Amino acid sequence: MNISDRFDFDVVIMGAGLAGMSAAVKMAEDHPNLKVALLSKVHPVRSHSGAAQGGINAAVAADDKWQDHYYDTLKGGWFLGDQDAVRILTEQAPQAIFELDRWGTAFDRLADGNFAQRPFGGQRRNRTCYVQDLTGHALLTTMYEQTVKKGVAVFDEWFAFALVADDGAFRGFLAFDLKSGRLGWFGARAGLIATGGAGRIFGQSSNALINTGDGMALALRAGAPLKDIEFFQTHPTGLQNGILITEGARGEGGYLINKDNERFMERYAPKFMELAPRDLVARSIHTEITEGRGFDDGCVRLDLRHLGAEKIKERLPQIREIAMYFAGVDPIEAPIPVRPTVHYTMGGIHADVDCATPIRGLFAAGEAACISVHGANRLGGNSLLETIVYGLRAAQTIPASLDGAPPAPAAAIEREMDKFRALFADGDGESVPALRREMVRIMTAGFGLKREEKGMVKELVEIDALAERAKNVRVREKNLVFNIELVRALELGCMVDVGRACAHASLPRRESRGSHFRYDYPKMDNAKFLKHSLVRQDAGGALHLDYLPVTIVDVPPLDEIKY
Amino acid sequence: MKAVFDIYRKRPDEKAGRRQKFEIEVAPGITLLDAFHRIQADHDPTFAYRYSCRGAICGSCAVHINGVAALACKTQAAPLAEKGEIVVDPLGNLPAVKDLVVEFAPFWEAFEKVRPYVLRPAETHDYQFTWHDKLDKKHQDQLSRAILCIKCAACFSDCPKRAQDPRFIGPAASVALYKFYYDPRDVDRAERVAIARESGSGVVACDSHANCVKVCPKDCRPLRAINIIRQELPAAE
Repeated sequence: MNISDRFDFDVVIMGAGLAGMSAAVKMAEDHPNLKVALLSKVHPVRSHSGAAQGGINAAVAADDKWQDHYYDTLKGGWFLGDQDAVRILTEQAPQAIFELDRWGTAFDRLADGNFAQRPFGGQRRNRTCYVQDLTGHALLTTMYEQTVKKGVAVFDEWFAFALVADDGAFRGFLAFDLKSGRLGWFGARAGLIATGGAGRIFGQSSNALINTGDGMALALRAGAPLKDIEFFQTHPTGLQNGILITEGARGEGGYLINKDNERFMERYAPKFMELAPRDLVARSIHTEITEGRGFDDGCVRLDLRHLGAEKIKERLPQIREIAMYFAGVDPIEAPIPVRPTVHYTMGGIHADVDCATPIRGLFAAGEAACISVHGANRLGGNSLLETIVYGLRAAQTIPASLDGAPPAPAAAIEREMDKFRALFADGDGESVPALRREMVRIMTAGFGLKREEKGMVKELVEIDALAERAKNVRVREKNLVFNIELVRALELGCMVDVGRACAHASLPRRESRGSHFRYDYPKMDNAKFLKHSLVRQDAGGALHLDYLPVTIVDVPPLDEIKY
Repeated sequence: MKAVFDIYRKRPDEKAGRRQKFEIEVAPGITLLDAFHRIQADHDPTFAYRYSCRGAICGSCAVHINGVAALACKTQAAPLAEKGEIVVDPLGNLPAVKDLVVEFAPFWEAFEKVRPYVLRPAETHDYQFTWHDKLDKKHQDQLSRAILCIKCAACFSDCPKRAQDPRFIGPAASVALYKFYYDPRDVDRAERVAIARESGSGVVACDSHANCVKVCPKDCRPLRAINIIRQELPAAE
């Protein structure tokens, strides 16, 4: 099993969702002489960005200002977001919307021609631009169209399994082509990781099945730390199989109801009700269910019936379709069973406001990165925004950073190839499906919605043990063409690494902040924990935890978050 | 209940495929894609199929189910199992690669033929225009359907015209053509007219079988888009 193709690029982007494609398209527009490649394990239009339904935030209305969006984002993130990064996100948001419009996205409009904007949780006004209820799909389509227009080199269905760094600098990726089975070395002067989140480590997740944290794990193994990886947002309303019912449904006026027919959010957030921040809504639902006020199926209900058939059909067609096909419920006639579902990875590869990681030449953007715009909890409508704003930004900072092109580091590449070949070694190994089930159990039991010392200490030992077992996974099929067994094995390794980092960062954060809610430490503790966690993995696989101060510019953090 | 799957199998190095049956327990709520995962995890780790979102928005998992193209993730297994064996094959009009995985290149080539992007945006861009208002109700409706296309190739797979004439761009590319044909932001209409009219490949070649309307999992109504363009094509010079 040897490398059959050797490619030489200026920039290789791993991940072809919205962040990766935004960067590629903008580089093609502004730096047409650069050789840029997009590498993705699925075709770009199959990326998880397309699943985002609700919208994208920007202060584009005449009576709105980015400073308000900035404050709402900081507060929603429990002040863990870096203020310089959040400023870039919110100040450049309107320009991102105009750029998307120019590229062909058909945003919904008001009668006067302005962008229609819907209300989303944690924001003091309607600020979320949208395309029906398939905003992510529409944006992803637009960006793909632009990659076609600009002739971006797309290596779709190439699975990257190793990131090679040498002497503290990024050198390239190793990947295989699922369609042909060819093995490629993608040498480049810079790399951008834009592989999205890792929600799959929890099993019950709204994330696509492909969201296994591959890019995060590759960066971690190469020496880049994961930042704030203890923060996984749980979306309040997923179907039983994890498929998401967007916040847009509540934005349009949906009610959350328990089995006693109460709009129970009145008890938890009387002012914002169903539109309180996601973590609060998720925990409220969780509390209702654990205190016996859920329905027999372990869910509460999302009731849209009072909106009427016409509004549901016009404004929420995709939600209606999802409820009908995946839960067997037509929301015009009956309320939808929903329960909390792991939805978004706030943490990720440690990157600065230029998307640069501590590995020279390695950049990260989108959900895979933690530039720290979402802090401890992301506002709805800010994830699509981050992919565009920071994808476009990476397209400026990466070309500006490029220096020489050193030759491929043969020894380092060979070491990674040996690890890859070892997966196919003879003899019995661990079963991928069994380990995967165990990983999901550990992460959910120890590091899900209910986090407390005792459970975490126990499951931390378990996840470390699982990581050892995961080293002995064996793949029997040696042909690489659409080798799902191999894909699953590689993904398992990535998920276990990210899960382990999450576990090691979660336990010592003895406070509650945003998505990280500790039943044993229910209060936010700015004195001790207004800081980013950084988990680094050394060459021997041991994890090291450090902390980094939060960048405060002009907004003093509150000591209590109230809505 | 028990479901029997009769599935097309082909190794990448084999020319011809064969069939294999799997028996799986399927409760209500279990989709065909869920069943594929179980087959791969518990019965045959080499079983190959495409998947991503499992929520009918990414377009990865279209296959032939009892002879008709559909998304595996959007198809409940139990109701089908009640009627008999569930016969699963790769999509048509695209070469088989391995098991249910097909080569998508011909689909993307057809898509790119319509130049699926704003060709020439208006120079001074006015962000205040209401572009839906420039369209009548029929176009507003069809345009919102065109945006739904997830490029799953179900329509392409089951298009009899495409089977007969591989020059024809097929329904999905026609939907993309429609989308840009009527986009008021794109000032270059003549180019679109030429693509639509192109002998053999353009929408004028469609034979109106309407399979595309039946199989589209997003209700994009490709034939309707094709018919609207055809009706409104300016007379040839």
